[in-house]
Amino acid sequence: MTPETIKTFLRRYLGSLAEETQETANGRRFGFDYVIEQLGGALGWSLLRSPSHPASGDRLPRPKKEAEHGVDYAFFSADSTELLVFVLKDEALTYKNFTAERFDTDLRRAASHDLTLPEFQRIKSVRVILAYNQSEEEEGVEEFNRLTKSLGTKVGDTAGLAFERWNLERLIEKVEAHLLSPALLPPNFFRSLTYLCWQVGDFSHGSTQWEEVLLPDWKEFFDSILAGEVTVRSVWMTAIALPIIRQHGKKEPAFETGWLELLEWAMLALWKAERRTKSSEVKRAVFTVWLDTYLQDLERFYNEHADGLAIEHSLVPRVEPSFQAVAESYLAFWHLGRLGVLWIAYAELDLPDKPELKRALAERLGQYAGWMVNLVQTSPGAMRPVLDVHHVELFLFWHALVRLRETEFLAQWMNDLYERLLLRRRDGGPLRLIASDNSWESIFEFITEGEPPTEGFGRSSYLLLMLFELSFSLPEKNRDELLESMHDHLVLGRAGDGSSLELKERIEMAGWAPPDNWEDLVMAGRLEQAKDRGVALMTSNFTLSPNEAETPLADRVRSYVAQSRQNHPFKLSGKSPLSVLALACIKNESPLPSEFWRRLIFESTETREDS
Amino acid sequence: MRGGDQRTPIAALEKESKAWEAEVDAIVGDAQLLSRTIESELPPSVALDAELPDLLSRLQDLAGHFRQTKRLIGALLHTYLECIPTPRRESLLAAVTSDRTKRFRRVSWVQPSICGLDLAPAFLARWFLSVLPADGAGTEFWGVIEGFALAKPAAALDVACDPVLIETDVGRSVRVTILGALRYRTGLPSDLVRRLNAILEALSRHLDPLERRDSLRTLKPPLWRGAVPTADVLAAFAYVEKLPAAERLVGFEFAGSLGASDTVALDQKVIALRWLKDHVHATCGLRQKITAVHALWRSWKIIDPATLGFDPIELVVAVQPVDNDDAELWDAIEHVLHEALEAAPDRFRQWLTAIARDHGKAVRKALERQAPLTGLLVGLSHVEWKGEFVSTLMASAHSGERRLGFQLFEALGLAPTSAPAGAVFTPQEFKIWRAEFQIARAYESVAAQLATAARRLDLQSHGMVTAFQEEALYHCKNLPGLCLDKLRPLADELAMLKPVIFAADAYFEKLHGVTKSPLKAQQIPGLARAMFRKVRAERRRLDQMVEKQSILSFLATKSYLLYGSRYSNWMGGKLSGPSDLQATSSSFEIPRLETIDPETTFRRRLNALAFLQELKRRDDGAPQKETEA
Repeated sequence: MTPETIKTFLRRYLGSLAEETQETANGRRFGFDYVIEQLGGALGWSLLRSPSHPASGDRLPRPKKEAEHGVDYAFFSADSTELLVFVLKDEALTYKNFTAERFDTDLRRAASHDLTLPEFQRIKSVRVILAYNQSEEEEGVEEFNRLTKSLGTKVGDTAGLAFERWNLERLIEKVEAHLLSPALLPPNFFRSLTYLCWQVGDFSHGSTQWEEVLLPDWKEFFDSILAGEVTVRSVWMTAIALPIIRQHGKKEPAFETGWLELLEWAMLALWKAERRTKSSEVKRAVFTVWLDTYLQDLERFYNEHADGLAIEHSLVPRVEPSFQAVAESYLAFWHLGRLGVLWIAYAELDLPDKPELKRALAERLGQYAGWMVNLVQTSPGAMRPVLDVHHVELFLFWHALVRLRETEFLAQWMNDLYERLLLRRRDGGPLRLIASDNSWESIFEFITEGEPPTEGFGRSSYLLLMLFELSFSLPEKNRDELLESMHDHLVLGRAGDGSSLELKERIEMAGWAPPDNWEDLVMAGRLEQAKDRGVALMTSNFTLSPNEAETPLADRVRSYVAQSRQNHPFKLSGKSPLSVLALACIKNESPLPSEFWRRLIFESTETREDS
Repeated sequence: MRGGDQRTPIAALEKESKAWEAEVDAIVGDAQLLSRTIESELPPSVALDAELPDLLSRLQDLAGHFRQTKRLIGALLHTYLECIPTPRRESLLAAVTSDRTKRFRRVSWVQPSICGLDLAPAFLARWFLSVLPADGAGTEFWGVIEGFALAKPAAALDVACDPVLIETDVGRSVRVTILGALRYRTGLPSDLVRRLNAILEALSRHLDPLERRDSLRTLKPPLWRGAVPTADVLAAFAYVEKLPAAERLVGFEFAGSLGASDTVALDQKVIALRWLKDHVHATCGLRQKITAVHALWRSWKIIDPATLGFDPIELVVAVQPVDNDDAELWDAIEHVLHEALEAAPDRFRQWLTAIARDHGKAVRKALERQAPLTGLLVGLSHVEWKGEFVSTLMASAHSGERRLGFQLFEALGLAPTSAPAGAVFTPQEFKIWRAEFQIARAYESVAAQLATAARRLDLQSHGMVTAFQEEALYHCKNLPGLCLDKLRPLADELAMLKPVIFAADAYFEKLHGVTKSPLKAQQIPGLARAMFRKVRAERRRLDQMVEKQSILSFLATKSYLLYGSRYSNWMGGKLSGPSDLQATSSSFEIPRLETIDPETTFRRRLNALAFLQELKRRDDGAPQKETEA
């Protein structure tokens, strides 16, 4: 998130606000009057008058039933010698509006103050500020100048009079300089945002407090901003909350990844809200925030630190040795997932058909893929899926390799992955099984106790089935070799000579057909709680029944894929980008539907065969 | 007082006494008559033969069942029998014992006669059968037979050969008793020993397995008691050869005594050692193994292998693998090796290698425990050629030798700076060494082993040097303290180590650069709790182990300090002065790569094992087989 991005968000946010903040019959209206009031406070001014009663609790301020005399806000300067009078307008400053929207009358009335009142005894000057959060036209500005010149330079006999015009850009400058804090948001969000700022300044990424206190509050905060009908204002309010929080982040290296994680939850909240609206303006706003915050920060993070990914064993944390391998896997898959999301997010950008743009994008995608390759080659943890849901990260990497047509590397990677899985199973250690419950707690318990936490632990694997299906992206010879090896050794536990490898557990590859509303469920993180969580498709490991005719393994897998697609058709709605859906799966530890890879393998294969 | 019976007990006794006296007078009279008759009438008349059993019986009745009476009667009968011709003797003996009701007492009468007179074996065989009950009960009979066998071994062997004894169970028992008695008989003439062995051999052929087992347990032949001539020794072993396998154990005792005796002739020792070589094997009992090794120990210096026809160490090889608990056997082996180490180093090297070749695991285990082979290690540590010996072993084509080499390297504590050189590696030797090195987990000596290997590299072989450097780099990354730091001072001497050390330093420097990188700064949810739980579980396991193994737990109670950093103890009515708490700790370097990347470590080991297995298969001549990595 660059300073320019922050300015843009401020521009969009402030521009989206009304003049007054108040509860209306149609709901809540957020105005920039509250921003002015907070800005005055931030500048050390003392509030003399405001147009509304102060907010209380979750309620917005209530307008006062009294004559304004053109004055929306009045402040004393810090030394109490200047009176600052604000005239607020949420209209554009145009020639027409100058009179139609009463710019002129309000300015005249604001300039006419009775300074003989006791509270104005020390006032030596009056500054009238016209603040507006919409555009302006030259004629409108001329009208303002003409009027202010005509009103003279004095109020009464002694006090000086001056006029200022705070257009949107000036407002942005002021806010950026003095009000990038929770006070910028409407009062009903002030408290929760302040609390969040305190939490990010105190908790470390991944700590118990982070997981159990900060993240729930964080999610709740964005859900409350985006509750009800989604408006472009709530989107920008979400966006502007981000830099506020970020500047309070704990001053430690871990906050960098912590920030990315916070962004991810915020993005998911935005994309979840985006699915509810038909407003193209809101959709555009969400996409802008996604691009300019998360993707931009993700890219910046890896631009700064990706060199470290090229260093052998760079992701090994300093933990008790028996947990080192699993801890490294945690970190490696964390980065592999983010890089995969970054890659796919840029890959699915719908760019104008310009060669230079395409070239730049290709370069960028190549760079991201390079980072991933470095990670996979230098960190053994990236080749050590521990949870079954790590298939999402593996898919993302595979996806990048397939799209970049890195077939040779792809084959090498898949072979290495298979060999390492087999070595793990043969070694018989606590990582011999992939946690089918997708729980780190279970893995840790396995390591601590030396026994699987439950009988069914790791006995079914969607990840392995995915690898079977992904092998169809390899040239036929490589595919058949890999398939046979995986099937014989890894799944059935048979050595090359037919003897048993004496693996401790039998595992079965298990497919999954998601429910119809999978996208909504996964975006909301409610798949696990849903009544219909889809259909588990057990494969019997593609072993032949006694009376079944001998068919090549590849044909059996292909037949399974065809039947499962036919019986459980699944189509992406296209409402959310694939990168967002993948991110939702990662964040919610939720499986990715097979169609994500099948559409890239089997359809194209069939098409090619047909052709 | 009761009325009616006027007879007093005394009167009754007097009456019985008078009757008894009269009877005694009559018997004594008869005996005197018999005595006079024998003295005056030689030989006694046939008519007297018929009266004799009854007379003897009455004498016995008169004197009661005292052993002396029986002996007296036995002597009387023996005297009588000596005076009559053989056919009458046999008839009389049969008549004396014909009364089944009194057979038990009468058998003891005839014992002196059976042992002292020359009676026909055929008669004796039948007589034995006639006096023995069908179920074979009655211990006195068996005593008579044993006495007979010991008194007249030649005649007893004749009896044992009588076919009538084969027909019944009792007969077979008679034969077994005779032959069994002879095993205790010392000083048997060698012809009798041969005969005895022949009978036993024949017997073993005819008996069914169960009988054979039971009978032969009793019938251990007196092989060495009279077998002084070499021919008899050979015959004895020939006999043993024909015994069922389970019964050949007797040969060990025989061969062991020949081998271990200082007075036995050399040719007999050779025979004994050869027999042992042919019969000792891994599944023998501990005593047999010890016997064999002892025989070797006492003989190897006086017999050269050419005379023997084999290397005597084969005896030790044959007893392998020796269980760790067989301390006595290990002692014997160590004696042999230690003597060889001092007297004939070449043979020692040859022998230790031979032991380790196929069954090195046992030797390695013994070395691991450093007992009972501690003395051997001490001896080996003082010889100059130890490094070269160990180094050669480490690249041997035989896995047992290699592993022994690695084990000795560790056990002898060879340092990197003084690590031994050896002959330059052939490419195959290098591959073997590397594979074995990858399997071995001798972390303490890894630097020294690399230094040793570095000195043996063929510097003209680029491939070998590169492969070595790869290997060394892996270990430098794996064990920065135990390997990299120890190899660093050797870089000037061993130039091929320079790039390795440079690469390893660069690796660690880069890693150091990312120590605080945000890439890995985040905490892992739940990990801290899991580590805490693991530490607690391990502490519990450790406590339990210590509790189980500590002798203190049996001698003293355990107190758990609650507060304070020092402690006092109230004992015997007195509170001791405060003592400081003692703490002990130990630390070791954990191999980094094995914890970071266990899959690669496992793969290296599997590949190395596959290579060595393939090598072994090829050496064994088995068809090559695709190896599963």
